[in-house]
Amino acid sequence: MCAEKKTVDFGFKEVPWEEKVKHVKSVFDAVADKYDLMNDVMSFGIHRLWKRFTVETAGVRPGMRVLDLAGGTGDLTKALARRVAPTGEVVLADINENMVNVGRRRLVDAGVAQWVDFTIANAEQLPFEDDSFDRVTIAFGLRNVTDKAAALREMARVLKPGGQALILEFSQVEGDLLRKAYDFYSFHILPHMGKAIANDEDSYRYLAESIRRHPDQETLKAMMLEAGFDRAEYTNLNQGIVALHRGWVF
Amino acid sequence: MLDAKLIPPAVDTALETLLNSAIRYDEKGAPCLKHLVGKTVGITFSDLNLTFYLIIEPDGIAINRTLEGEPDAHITTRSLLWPLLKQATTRAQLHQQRRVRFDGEQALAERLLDCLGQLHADTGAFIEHWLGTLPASLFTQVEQQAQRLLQNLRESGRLSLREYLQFEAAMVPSREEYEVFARQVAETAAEVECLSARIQRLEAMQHA
Repeated sequence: MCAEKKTVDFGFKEVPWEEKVKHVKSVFDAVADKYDLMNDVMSFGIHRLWKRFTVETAGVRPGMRVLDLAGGTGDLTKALARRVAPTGEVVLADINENMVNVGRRRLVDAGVAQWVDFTIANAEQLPFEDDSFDRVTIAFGLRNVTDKAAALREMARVLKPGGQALILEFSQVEGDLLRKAYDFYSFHILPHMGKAIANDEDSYRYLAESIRRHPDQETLKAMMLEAGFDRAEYTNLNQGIVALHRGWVF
Repeated sequence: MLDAKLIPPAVDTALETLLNSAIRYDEKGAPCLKHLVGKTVGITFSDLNLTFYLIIEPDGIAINRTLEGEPDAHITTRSLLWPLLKQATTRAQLHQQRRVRFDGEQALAERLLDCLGQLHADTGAFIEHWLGTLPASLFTQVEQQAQRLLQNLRESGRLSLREYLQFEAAMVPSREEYEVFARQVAETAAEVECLSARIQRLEAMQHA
C-alpha cells in the first residue's frame, strides 16, 4: 500500500509539501535586489503606510525585544529598531539568505544595525527559547510559509506572557467591484510590471496567486486562536486588500 | 479604496520627517537630545483629543500613537499653547495658570521642551543635501542679504525713533517749569474763586 504524497499550494499550483520552501526561495532570490522598488511601484507606495500602521500599533518602547519574522529587506526592522534602542533589540529572521543580506546592507546604511541581530531561520521551527520576545511581527511573509499553523504555534511559543504578535498580510477584499478591479490589476497588470522592472513575470504572478490562496481574515483569526493565542483580532486596511491580525498571549 | 485609518500614520510620518530634519540640520547638532536617549515622552493635546508618544532615539525622535505602559513623562496642554511651552518663562506662567500639566518626570519633559525650543536648522545645509550646492549657495546669499536688509531696517528704525523721541523730549517742559505752571494755575484758580464770589455779592446788592 502506498501512502498519498502530501502537497501544498504554491500559488495556484500544488507542489510536494517539502518543495514549497525551495520554490519560495527561488522566487525571493529572483526579486531580492528589486524587492523594495517593486513594492513601491505595485502598491503605489501605500505599503509604507501599512507597515507604519503596524509599527505604531505594536506600541514598542525602548528596551523591548522584538522578532521580525520574514523580515526580508528590513523595512519593519528599521522602524522597530529605532524605537527599542538603545537598550532593546530586534531580531531579523528570514529563511532566505539573499533577502537577509539585502536587509543587512540597508540597516547598516540606516545606522540601526547595532540594535539588530540577523538570523536565517524557518518560521515553522524558530531557534529561540520560549517566552523570549515582547513582540513578534511578520509582514507579507506568512502566506509563503508551508505550514502556517506551525508558524503560528511557534510565534505564540516565543512570545512572553503579555506579548503580542502582529501579522500584516494581503487578505480578502471587501466588495465585488473592488475585487474585480483588484483581480484585473493582480493578474493582468502586476506580472507585466514585474517583467518590466524586475525582468521576472513568474515571480509576480506567484505573488498574485499566493494572495488568493491565503486564508481570509476570519480563517486566519481562528487559526491563531487554535495555535495558542489567547486573544486575536484583525483590522482591515484599504477594504481588506491588507489585514493586520493581532494575537495576544497571556 | 482610500482608508481613513492610514491618515494618522501618514501624518506621523510627515511630522517625524520634519522634526528629524530639524534635528539633523541643527547648527549645533542638537546636543541636548543625547542625554534623553531611551526616554519616552507623551504629549496630549486635550482640545484635539490626540496623544503622541515621542521616543527619543540615538539619531532623532520616533513618533507613535500607542505605547505599551506609561511614558517617562507626560505633557498635557492645548495645541495652540504648544509653541509657548518651548520658552521657559512662558512655560512657567502657563504651568502656574494650570494651562499645562506635567505627569511623571517633569524635569525630563522640560528638558525636552527646552531642547526643541533651541533647535535651529541650518537651512543651507538642508538645501545642499537635497538640491545640490548651487541652489544652496543662492539660498544662502539671498538669506544673508535679507538678514542684512532686516538689520539695516532695524538700525534705521531705531535711529529715527531716537531722534523723534529726542525732539519730543525737547518739547516737553521740565519739572521746574511744570511746578511753576502748576503753582500759577492754583493761584489763578484762587483768584477766580474770589472774583466769582465778589460778582455774586455785587449782583445780590443790585437786586436788593
